[in-house]
Amino acid sequence: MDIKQKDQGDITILSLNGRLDLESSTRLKSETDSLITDRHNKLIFDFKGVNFINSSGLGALVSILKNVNSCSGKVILTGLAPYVKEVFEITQLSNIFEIYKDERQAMNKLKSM
Amino acid sequence: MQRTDSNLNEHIKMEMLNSIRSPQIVDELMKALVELTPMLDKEKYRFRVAISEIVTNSYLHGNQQNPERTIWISILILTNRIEIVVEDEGDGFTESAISRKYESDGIYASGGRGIKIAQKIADKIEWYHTDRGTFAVSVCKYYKLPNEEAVESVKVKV
Ligand SMILES: Nc1ncnc2c1ncn2[C@@H]1O[C@H](COP(=O)(O)OP(=O)(O)OP(=O)(O)O)[C@@H](O)[C@H]1O
Ligand SMILES: [Mg+2]
Repeated sequence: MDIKQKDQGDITILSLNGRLDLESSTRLKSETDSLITDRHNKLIFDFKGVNFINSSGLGALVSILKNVNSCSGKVILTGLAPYVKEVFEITQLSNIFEIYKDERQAMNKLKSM
Repeated sequence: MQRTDSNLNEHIKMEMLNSIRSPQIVDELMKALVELTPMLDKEKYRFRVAISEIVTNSYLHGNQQNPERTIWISILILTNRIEIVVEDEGDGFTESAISRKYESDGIYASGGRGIKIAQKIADKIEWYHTDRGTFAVSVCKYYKLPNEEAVESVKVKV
């Protein structure tokens, strides 16, 4: 999986490309955890390029979310394909993740924080 | 490509050394094999996710990430269903192991979702110890016809 980072003020946008499975989720977690601090705690994951996700990817995202929450920050997911979104619903993770259609909505939400 | 043979009957067997890439390799293969079935696109993807959960578990929990251990896969593609058996060299699990991890941390648990996802997607999942000493998980999915899908979405709306 390919991870691209873009910073806009105190907001970090991570664009993910490829599979979010066992091999890539470990990397996603370590790369993301190293970015998060009390002052740098607003994250947008752009899922437009994600074509596969399983529980390994979900587990990594949950642990990132916990880390961000402990820094009083926020995580927003955008651009999920319907079939990718479905596993969030099956596992009820859609209840704890904020999921928006596109990046603009997510930016507006984070800027108003 | 979608085949509509009335007598589908393919049996594919393989074995691979335990590797962190095993789940992805099996998935790339599954991606091609589901195209032999009349499954709907949505179902093809769901099924691939279910299988990836089982293979990931064999690599991690069953074979304990040991590169000298083996994963065996048997794929049976029939007229009305697809059946996969994944075997590893571990001790296996029991029903209670599945929920233990999840129950302690609830929704914020770091894991414990794989089997639940697979159970939700597949029509039947069974696990057992084989005579040759391996642990096996079998996953079965019946092909859904387009009209059955329509009935289901109506049900969900109600
Ligand atoms: N092939 C296996 N061999 C031995 N134990 C297994 C096997 N598959 C699953 N288990 C046990 O069942 C538990 C639940 O598996 P499940 O896939 O639901 O969650 P997980 O693998 O722990 O986390 P996740 O899949 O969410 O990343 C595992 O933690 C493990 O203890
Ligand atoms: Mg698992």
